[in-house]
Amino acid sequence: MTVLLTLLLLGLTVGSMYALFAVSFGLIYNVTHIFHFAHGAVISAAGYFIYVLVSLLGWPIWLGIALAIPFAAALGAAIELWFYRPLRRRGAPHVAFFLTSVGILTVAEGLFGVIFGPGVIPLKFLPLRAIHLGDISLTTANIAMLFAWVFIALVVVYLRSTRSGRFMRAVADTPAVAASTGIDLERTYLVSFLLGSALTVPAILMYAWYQGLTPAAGLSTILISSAAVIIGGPTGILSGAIAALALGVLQAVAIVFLPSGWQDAIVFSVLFLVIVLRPKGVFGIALRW
Amino acid sequence: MINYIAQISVFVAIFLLLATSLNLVLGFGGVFSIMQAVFYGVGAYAAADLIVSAHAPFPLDLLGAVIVAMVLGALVAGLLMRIQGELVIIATLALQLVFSTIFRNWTAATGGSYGIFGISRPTVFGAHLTTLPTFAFMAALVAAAAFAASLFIARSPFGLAVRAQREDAVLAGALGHDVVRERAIVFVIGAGLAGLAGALYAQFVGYVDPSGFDVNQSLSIITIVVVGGLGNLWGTLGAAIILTFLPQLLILLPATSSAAAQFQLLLYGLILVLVVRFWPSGILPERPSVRLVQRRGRRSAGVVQPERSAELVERIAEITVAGMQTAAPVVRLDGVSKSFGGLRAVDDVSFEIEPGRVTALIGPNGAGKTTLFNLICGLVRPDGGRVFFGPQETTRYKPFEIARLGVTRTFQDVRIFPRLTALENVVFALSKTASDVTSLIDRAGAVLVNVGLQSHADRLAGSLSYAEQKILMMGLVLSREDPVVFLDEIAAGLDHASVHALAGLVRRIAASGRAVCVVEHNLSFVWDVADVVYVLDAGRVIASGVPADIQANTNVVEIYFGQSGAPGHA
Repeated sequence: MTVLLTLLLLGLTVGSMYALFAVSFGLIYNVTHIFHFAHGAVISAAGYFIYVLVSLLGWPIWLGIALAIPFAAALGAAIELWFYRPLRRRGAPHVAFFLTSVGILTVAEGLFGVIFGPGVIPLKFLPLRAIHLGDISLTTANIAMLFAWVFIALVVVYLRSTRSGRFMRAVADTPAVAASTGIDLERTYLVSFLLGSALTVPAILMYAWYQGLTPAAGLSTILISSAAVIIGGPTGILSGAIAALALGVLQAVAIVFLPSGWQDAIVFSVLFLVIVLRPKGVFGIALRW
Repeated sequence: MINYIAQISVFVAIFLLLATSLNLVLGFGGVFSIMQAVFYGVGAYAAADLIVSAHAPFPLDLLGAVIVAMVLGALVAGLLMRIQGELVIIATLALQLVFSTIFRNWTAATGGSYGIFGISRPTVFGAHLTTLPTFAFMAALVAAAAFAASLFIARSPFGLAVRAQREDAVLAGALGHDVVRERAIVFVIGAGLAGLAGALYAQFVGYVDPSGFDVNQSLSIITIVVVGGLGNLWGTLGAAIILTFLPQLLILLPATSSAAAQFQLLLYGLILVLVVRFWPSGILPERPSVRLVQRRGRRSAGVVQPERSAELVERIAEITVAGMQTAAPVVRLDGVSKSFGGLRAVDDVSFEIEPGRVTALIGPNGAGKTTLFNLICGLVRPDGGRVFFGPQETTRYKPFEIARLGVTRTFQDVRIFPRLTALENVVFALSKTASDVTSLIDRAGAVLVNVGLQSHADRLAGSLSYAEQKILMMGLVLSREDPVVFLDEIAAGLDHASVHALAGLVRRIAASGRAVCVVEHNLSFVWDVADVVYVLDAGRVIASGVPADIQANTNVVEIYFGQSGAPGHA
């Protein structure tokens, strides 16, 4: 029983982190409809950026994080401006965006592997300690992951109450109608890239705190968060976050009835079945912005 | 040295097979699959198990691998063909990740992360292919044969059909093609070719482990296809050679092997991004599978270009009114209804479309005319009521099944296959009538001459002007000699003379014994051509009869023009 409860809490905390990744990806995907795999490159880059500033150069933690946020946002915006926008102007097919995106992620993964080596780099400035709650023990990183919901709540408030947030929702729903009411599509896309990319900083901090940085961190997080966004459906941010939470729990609890190593098979079988059987996501339009 | 060359040749052969398989699926079929490494892996493991456990001799080992890959391909296709577009990318990526996990963990079949060892090279006609050069020779022959077969498929009518459904699946269906089946077949062929590559790989290396069949491998295969050019197999051949040699050059650099692998990944990613951005057509762009053989010099020079669309309509009439083999059936609707959400788009409609007559459907916007069309043609399934073609009930038929009964329809907008040439467009439209390609090309050429587009025969239809595309659409749809013809707002946007000529065309089509049904907003056109008029309003037939009766019907006048003599009445 304790084991199951521990796994459940583990799943809920890790799932919360996935939810933040999913929201950062969903902000971009739902608005621009680009399957922005290169988001994984931004995620890894943000992590290594903080590692270099804080661990290698010895700068204060707050400064490293404060600089990482504009860095990540600029990186996401650069990908939009230099790669996606020219493709959009050319009227390139979906697959061109996807291939570009995957290519960028591949190059980034290769670069980080060459520069930082293939091994795991722990962020030593974030102490990973056990925390005991009765019989159950978690880590400090797990507790930190719960703060994901603070960021997600901020995003929801932003989307509902600010002008540019409402623009993003309008563009996500029906780009043509939004454009006809005078919303600048390209500008809205850019805002979604800036915001979504900036959100990778708290998410990758939680991730690296928990399991350290590897060149493949971006790939593994983008896979799970994009899966969650697709499973949740294209109509909102929260649906993806809830799907991410569910995937986190599923992954953690799956260890009880399947040998470890099979978790990916479960997550991505679920993704495949949802796409094939419910292409509009499990929530349909029930859970909107 | 000879061993080194042989080794690279084997890899070229393997990557040629893989990239060819994906180009058929992605470039020709338009199915954005990024799980080609799965079929590669399944073929490799199947061959490994067959050789190590069952001691299968050549060519059963290769054949078994191909069959296993194709069976898996068929299973995946069954589910995958339900969805389209970008979701296919994500669905196949998901399957790639699922199978990567299976390869790593299903120890009984794959040996887990250690893989399967001791795969011996085959004995072919008594010759042991243990040395590298002999094996390379066999691999090259197998790859060449498969490549030739792929070229043949690409140029066959089936290849043309696969490309056409990629361009516009609805139009291809309306022309009588089962596009889901065609897409599934090309997917399964691709799976088989990749499985063959996997079997060669297993025999060549002597062991298989999961690292060769992961997402990165799928991406490498995509890179080769994109660099070579989507839809061009010769480009794939060139790219397979270049991209297999390029990493070899890197390995010659002083670097550890894991660093070399990282570099290769980096290089492929970089190439992919740059090619998509700056060189989207790749080495060789797609080529048409059929060309108009211009025997007697350049025929275009002597032909007068019809200046006015009215003339063109006359010319289209010539090709259409020609031979009709089967007698037209009566199309009968019996209490057909269809709702979209709360809106009753079509409400208990019954009528008949008779051969030798022009039946017109008129009514204000949103009256349900086009929905009714789509119900008859199978694009929309009715909630209630039945549709008959002659004695046959077709209520639940799919669009291609109805098209095969001898039904031609036009669409409101211009619909053609933009990345097929004008000639290929017509050949494809005619292809149900003959399987002999040469006679098809001759007939399609004649159609193009008739519509005045013969000098554009080998140009991509998408590069034609709007007017030319519209003419091409009329030509390709009406050259099919089908006994039942549905025309959806064909008079829209035409000048007066053309509308008049078009009316003549429609009358002549009906006079040849066909059943013609038109949906039209242009009422003077309707009064010109129609034998029977049905007036729809809010999904119901509110009046029917000969044009003179309808014109005199105050009800109809009211719907179109508001209550006459009472302006301001809401």
